[in-house]
Formats: sequence, structure tokens, C-alpha cells
Amino acid sequence: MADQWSLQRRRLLQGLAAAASLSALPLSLARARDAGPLIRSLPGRDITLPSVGLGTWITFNVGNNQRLLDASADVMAAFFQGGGAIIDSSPMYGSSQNTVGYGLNKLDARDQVFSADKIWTRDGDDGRRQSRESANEWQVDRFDLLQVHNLVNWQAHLDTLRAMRDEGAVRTIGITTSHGRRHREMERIMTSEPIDFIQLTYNPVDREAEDRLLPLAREKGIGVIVNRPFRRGALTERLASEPLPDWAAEVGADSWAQLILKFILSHPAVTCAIPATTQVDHVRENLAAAREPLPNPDLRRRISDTIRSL
Amino acid sequence: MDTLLSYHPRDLLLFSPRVYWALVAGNNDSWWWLALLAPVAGLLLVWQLGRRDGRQHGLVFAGMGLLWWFVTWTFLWQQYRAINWAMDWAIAPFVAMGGLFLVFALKGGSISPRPHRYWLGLLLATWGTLIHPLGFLLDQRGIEAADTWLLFPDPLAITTLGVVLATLHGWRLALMMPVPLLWSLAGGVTLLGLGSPVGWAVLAAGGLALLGWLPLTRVDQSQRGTR
Repeated sequence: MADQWSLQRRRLLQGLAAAASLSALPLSLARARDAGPLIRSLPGRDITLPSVGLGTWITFNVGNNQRLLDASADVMAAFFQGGGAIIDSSPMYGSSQNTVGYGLNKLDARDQVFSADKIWTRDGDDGRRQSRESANEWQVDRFDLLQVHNLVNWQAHLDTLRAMRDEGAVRTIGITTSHGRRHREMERIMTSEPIDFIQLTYNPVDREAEDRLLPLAREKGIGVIVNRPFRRGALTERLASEPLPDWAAEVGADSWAQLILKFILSHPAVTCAIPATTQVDHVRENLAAAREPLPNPDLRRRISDTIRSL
Repeated sequence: MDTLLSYHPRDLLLFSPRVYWALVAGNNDSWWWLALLAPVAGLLLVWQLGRRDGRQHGLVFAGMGLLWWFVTWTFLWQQYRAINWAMDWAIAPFVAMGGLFLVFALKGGSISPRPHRYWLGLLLATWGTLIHPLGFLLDQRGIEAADTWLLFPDPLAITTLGVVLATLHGWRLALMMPVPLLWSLAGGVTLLGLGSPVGWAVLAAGGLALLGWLPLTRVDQSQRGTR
């Protein structure tokens, strides 16, 4: 697992490696490798993270299929090579945890990952056991972040997670939701509980989080991980037949996916987005979006209005 | 409940079409000779049901019982469970179905005394064994991912609905209907979530079976107790 020093050292080495291979890369990718993804820090904590992570919902649930396990490891290799760190999974995601573990082992990349997983059980006494099982699947000693999945029995699990954090059994803790659900409950928890991260859905068409949760996260120094940036691919599929507006070039976006990610990352409360993918090209494209320039408020409005209208 | 209803079937799926059809293709690869044998076995089953002679139905039930256990072990347990934890809930009912078929095999079988059930049963058995596997023509997978009734639960459930409608009645029919009916619902929704139109066909087969279960025609006394 990664501490701050090892993450920074890795980025330096990756920068040198990227410089050596610039001539072989397309221009946009070369720029991204050169700069590396934007880094965000967690206020009040000694933690910095690249602003684009890797989700595993659906995409990494490949069972025992060796060809697909290796394809997932290739995605992880491109992710780490491009400067990514946070990978997010859950016991709910079928064999995804095992796939991540396979990739980390194959790539010998345990020191490169910021491991984020979840507790997902109604049994309030089962959190520790489940987190141990998850760590076994990941083949890591402990997680960098453990979150209560979809707020399931969050009172009991946050008690467990707080104790684990105090013991050093996990670095940071948090809560998650998706699809814009249970925001009021999440707000109450953010106000009353000492958590490090929240995870929620946010993109140019799902902007409910802007009303209260994102400002509150900023105020309380809570990191924000954004899931479903592309609505599980539905958003980018819908936009695929539409031409990218000329003004996308103002922020260096070469695709709708990059424009969407830039919109998300331009919100000052957002720590990182975790798009999931099965394709190496998409990993590189996503990481390439995590760099300056990012859209200003006027352009953010324009991006959202345009995408909503299409 | 409102939260659950707000999800699209696609949101409830844990896996992608790519992974599911790769799983099916892999299972076909492992049991290729059964995949090839399935249409012939299907023809034999339909022929046997079409003879309206219940004397061989004990053999049919025994075969169906073993098949439910075989599919449970080779597909649900060894393959599907790895990508779908909900299969943990399906294993016990599948094993029970196999056991019930084997118990009924000892008693032998008959022909359903209600004509509509017999004919719908014959139709569903033909559908499950011979027509369902052609579903690969309607979606993105190739013939290597065709799902046949000797290897996969969707066509097995449809075939089973046909067999039990055509051969059982009373409490025995009531005992054998729920599991394949529920699987038709789950399997159909899963296929729709995967973007396959075959899901509609699986749901329609379940709907037809449910319709067939209703007492729509009078009991044909000449078929009562036929062995």
C-alpha cells in the first residue's frame, strides 16, 4: 500500500520513464504523461491522490476467465504507468476484488495502489471479518480506505471503521452512495461523524451533489470520490454520435469523456473521479483528462447545458 | 421498495455481456460433446412426450433430475457463482428440483389430464430444447455461446416447465412449477439487462407456463391415471 512518499517517488520515476517514451506516443497522451494527472490533497491529512482513479464495478467482475483476468491486469498496468493510484472495489462487485488482487500480484504493484474498498453487509458485527476477506482477495495487508457501501447499516459499520482507523488497521474511512440516492442521510453523517471520504455520483447531468454535499465536504475537509462519471457508459454512448464542440479545445479535451471528466474535476470539492473501463485506451484517455486547463464556471455551465440538451 | 424500483435491470447486473457470454462459451468448450448432443436429446424428449405414453416418463424424470444437478454443479456452482453472488440463493432450489425429479421418477409419470396443459407443455419442451439455443442469432454472441438445455439453466427451466405441464398434475405439478417459473423471471430479466432480446422470449415462456397452469380446460377423464 502506498504512503505519500512512495506515491511521490513513483510519480517522479514515471515522469522519467514517460519522458523517455514520449516519441512513441500520440500527442495528447504524451502531454498527459509529461505532466501526469492532477494531484489533489485531502485537507488536514497527509494524503495526496491523483485525481483520476479506477473503478471496478462490472468491468473487473470477470470470474475465472484467464484471458479476461489478463486483460484487466493490462488495464491496471496502463493505469499505474499513467500515474494512477486509487482503485475502488467492493465485496458486492462479484469477482472484482479477486481480479484486482490478481493484477496487483502480476504487476507487483502493491506499493503503487491506494486501495479503496467497502463494507457491504447488513450484519453490524461482520464488518471486520468482511474487510479481512476483502484484503485477502486484494492480496494486501490493509486498505488505505474502507467505506460503508451505500450506507448499509452505517451506524454499526462506522463504529467498527473508526476503531480500525484508531488501531491503524485502515488509513482512512468513508461512506458511499450512488445514483443520487440518500443524499440527506449522507449529509447528516458528514455533519456528525468524523469521516475522511464520501463517494457519490456526480457528472454534468447528475448535479444534485452541488447543492449541499459538495460544499459541505469542502467545509469539513472531507475528500470526495466521484462514481458513475459516465453513468456507466450510458452518457458517453449517447454522445458518441454527436460532434465534440469546438470550444472543448479551450480546455484541451479531445473527447466527450475527457470533457465530462474535466467538468467533474473542476469542482473544487472533488478529490478524484473513478471511471471504470475494460480498455487500455480509455484508461489513458481518462488520465489525460486530469490535467490543466480545467473549465471555469462559465464553461462548466456550457458543458452541462450542452450535454443535457443532446 | 421505491429505491429498488428506481433501478434499471442493467443497474442490478453485476457483470457485462462480454463476461457472461464468455462464460457460456467456456462452458460449451468444456462440455462440447453435450452441446452437440443437446438437439438430438431434445428431439428424443419431444418425441417421447408426443407419444402420450406415460410409461417411459420415469426415465424422463430421472434424466431431468440428473440434469438439474449437473447444471447446478457445472454451471451455477463452478462458473456462474464466481461473477454472480446471487447464485448462492439459487443452488438449494436447483438441487431440490433435481431431487424431486428423481423421487417422481420412482413413481413413474402420466399425461396431464388437462389438454391445454399437455399441448402447452409440448410447445415449451420444443421451445426449450430446440428453439431457445437459436437465440444467438438475435444478439451479439456467436454460435460458440449458444445456450443449450443440457448445459444451461435458462433453456433447462423452459424445458422443465414443458415437461411438468405435460406430465404432472395436482400437488406434484404445484411442487415443480415455482423454481423454473422464478428462474424464467430471473433469467429473462438478466438477459434483458445484458441487452439480449432473448430475455423477452424467456419471460414469455414463463408467462405461457403460468397461463398453462391455470385450469383453462376440463379434465379429460380418459387421461386420468394414464401410465
